[in-house]
Amino acid sequence: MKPSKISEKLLLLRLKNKDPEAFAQIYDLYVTPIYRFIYFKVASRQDAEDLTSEAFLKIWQYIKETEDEIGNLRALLYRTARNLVIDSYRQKAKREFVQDQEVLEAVKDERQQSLLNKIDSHFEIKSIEGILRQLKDEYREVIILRFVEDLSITEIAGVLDKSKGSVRVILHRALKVTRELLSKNGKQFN
Amino acid sequence: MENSLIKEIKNLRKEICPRPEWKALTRDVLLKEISASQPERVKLGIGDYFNLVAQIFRQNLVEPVVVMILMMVVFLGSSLTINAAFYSLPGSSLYPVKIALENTHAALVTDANQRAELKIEFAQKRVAELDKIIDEPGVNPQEKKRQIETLVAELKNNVTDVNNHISKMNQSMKQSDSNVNMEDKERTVKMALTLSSKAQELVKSLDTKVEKISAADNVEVKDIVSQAVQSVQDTSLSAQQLAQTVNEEADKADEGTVKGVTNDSDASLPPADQAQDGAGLPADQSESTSDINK
Repeated sequence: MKPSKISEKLLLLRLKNKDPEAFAQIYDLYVTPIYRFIYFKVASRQDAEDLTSEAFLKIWQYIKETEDEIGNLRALLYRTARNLVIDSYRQKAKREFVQDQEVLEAVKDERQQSLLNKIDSHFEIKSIEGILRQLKDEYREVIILRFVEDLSITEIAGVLDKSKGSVRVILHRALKVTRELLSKNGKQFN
Repeated sequence: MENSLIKEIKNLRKEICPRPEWKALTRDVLLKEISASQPERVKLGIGDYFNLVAQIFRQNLVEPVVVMILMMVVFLGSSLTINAAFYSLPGSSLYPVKIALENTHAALVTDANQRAELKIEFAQKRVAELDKIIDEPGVNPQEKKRQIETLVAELKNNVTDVNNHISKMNQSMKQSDSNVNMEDKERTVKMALTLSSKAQELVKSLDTKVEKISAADNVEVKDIVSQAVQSVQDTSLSAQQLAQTVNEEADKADEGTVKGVTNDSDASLPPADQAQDGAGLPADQSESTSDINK
C-alpha cells in the first residue's frame, strides 16, 4: 500500500536520524514492489532476491550519508534498484569478456540473447509475463512501473531520468509492441 | 483490448511476489547489519519535527503558489504587452509587435476577401496613427519624418496586398470566363465595390492629413504621404475597374442568353425544303415560311 506523503516524509526523517525501526517499516512497505521491479529485469528469482536486499542496504547507506533533500522516496528506491541491475550486468559482462573493448560494446545484445534463451526455458512464451520479457528493456520497464507498480508518469520520469513527454511516448510504443506480440502469439484481448 | 491488456498486466501484481521466508530472513539480516554499523540512535527533537512541517508546507503549499504566481505574472505581462503594443506608434519598441500581431491576425483569416478587407482596416489604423503623430507636440521634425516614413511604408504594404488581391480576382475572372456563375460574379462585384469605397474613404482621410502636414511646413513628409495617397487611389481605381469589367461581362452573358433563346426557337422550325413543300405545317404558315426563305 502506498503511504501518504506526510507519513513518507516522517519515515524519511526518522531514517535520516538512523532509526532502524523506520528502515524496517520502509522495507515492509516496498520490498514486494522493488522485488517485482527487479524480477522483470533479471533472469532468475535468485538474482532478483539478491539485488533486492542489496538495494535496501544501499538506500540505508545513501539516506544516512546524503545531505540532499529527498523528494520522493518511492522514486529513489526504484532508481537505486535500476542502477543496481545495470551495475550487475556490467560486472557480469566484465567477468565474461575481460579487457576486450569491442566485445564489451556488443555485450548488451549477447546479454539480451542469453536472457531470452533462459526465458524461453522458464516461461511460457504466450503468457503475459513471457510477452513482457520479450520486450526491450525500456518498454518493459515503463509498463511495469506504470501498470504493475502504479507509478505516475512524473514518478516514472524521475526514476528513468527522462522527460514526462518521452515517458508517455515510450509507454504508448510499449503497449503497441505488446499488443502486436500478443496477436502474433494468437492471444487476443477484448 | 487496451483495457483488458492492462488488466492482465496488473494481474501480475498478485502473481509475482517474493517468497515470504526470504522476505522475513532478509528483513532480519538487513536490520542486524544496519544495527551493527549504526550503534547509536539519535532521538528526534522538536526542531526535526518543525523542519519536517516546514518542508511539507514548502512542497505542498508554497511551491504550487509560487508556480501559480509566476504563471499569472507571465500571463498578465504578455496581456499588458499586447495591450500596450495596440496603442503604440512608429518609433516605439512595441510597434513591430503590433505589426507582427496584425500580420498574424491576417494570416489566420482563410478567406482571401476577408483578408483584403482586414488589410484595408489596418491601413485605416495607419491613417489614425498618422493623425496622432502629426498632432504630437514637442517631437523634432526629423524624428517625426522618420515615424511617418515607417508608417507610410506599412500603409503601402497593406494597400499593395489589397491591390494584389484585386489583380488575382481580375485574373481568375478572366481565366474562368463564362464558366463563372452569376453568384460568383455578383460576389466579386460586391467585394470590388466594398474595397473601392473603403479605399476612397482612406484617400479622403489621407488628404485631410496632407493638409495638416502642409500647415506644419514639412514639404518632404507631405510628399511621402502624397505617394501613399496615390497608391491608395490606384487601388480604389483598380477595384472600380474590376467591378466594371465583371458587370460588362455579365451584360454580355445576358445578351448571349437572349440570342441563344432566339436561336433555339429557330431550331424548332422544320428545315427549309420541308417548309417549301408545306409538309407538316398548316397552309397559311407554309406560305409565310417560304416567303422568309426567299
